Amino acid sequence: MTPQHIQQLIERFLDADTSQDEERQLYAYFQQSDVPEALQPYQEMFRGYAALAPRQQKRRSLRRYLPYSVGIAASLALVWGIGSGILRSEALPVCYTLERGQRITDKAIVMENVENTLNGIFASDNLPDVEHQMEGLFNFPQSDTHY
Amino acid sequence: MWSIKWKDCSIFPNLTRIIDMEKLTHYRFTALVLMLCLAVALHAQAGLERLSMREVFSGCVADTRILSETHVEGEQLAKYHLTAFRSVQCNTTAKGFVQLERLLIADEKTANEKEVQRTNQSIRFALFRYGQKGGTNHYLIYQRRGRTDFVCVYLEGTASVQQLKKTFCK
Repeated sequence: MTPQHIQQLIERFLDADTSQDEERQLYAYFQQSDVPEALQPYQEMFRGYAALAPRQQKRRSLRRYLPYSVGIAASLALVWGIGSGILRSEALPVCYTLERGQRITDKAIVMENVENTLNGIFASDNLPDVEHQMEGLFNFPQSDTHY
Repeated sequence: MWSIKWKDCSIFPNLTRIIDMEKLTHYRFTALVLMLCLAVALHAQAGLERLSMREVFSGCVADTRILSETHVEGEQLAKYHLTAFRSVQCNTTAKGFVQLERLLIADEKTANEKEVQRTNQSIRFALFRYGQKGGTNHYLIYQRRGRTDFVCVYLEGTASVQQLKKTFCK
């Protein structure tokens, strides 16, 4: 910005004819120390105006980060949504038995299977059955063919 | 796009540092993918997936055939203080039992509570509990039934071993 251009802006400023951007240009120009002698009488005035306008500058710097904040929030929302979907899918009730290639979903039958399985485990876990006792006595070899 | 707009803008004549939006987009995408992978990995570590015996439930043990499979999750198990039940009844060969022993021994090392019964040095019954007391328990139960058959059960819930034995010892 040349001193002539600054002079024009000053005249327009005094006529209340400048835009906010032009005013900010003036404030920024008079913040520096190497102002030409002809313009030095205006320096203190424009520094005072610059000190009165901090709110607008702060608003602009917040706007600057708005796109990044929206992006970060969208990314977090996407991760949260996918994570919730995974957890929700795991939380859906499941109840079935697969037997001889047939899928049984009748709750009564499935729960009967559950109870029979656990009864079979906990009722007999302390008592070796006859076959195992015989194996222990005579060391019966195990056959590899069973199908 | 954003960098061009900032460069051409006359509002900030003193602005000298232009953020490279392409690099920022790349880093954000990478961070998102990493967070997703971490979330999936953490979820996979829970429950049956962290046990070696999961291979039995997925039918990956040598010479082993799954005869029947039961899977229950939800309120049906609430009366037993359980939240999940999975069982497989299989038959296998001597080779299969050898692999089963290896898997059981691996899972025995990480169990908080264990009960193992052997016959002729081979495992006939095993019950492993995982999880801290007072919280959710994860159980792995193995029982050999006869020369070729076995059953494997995975349980989740707040029920203790004593409660399970009391409920199902009929």
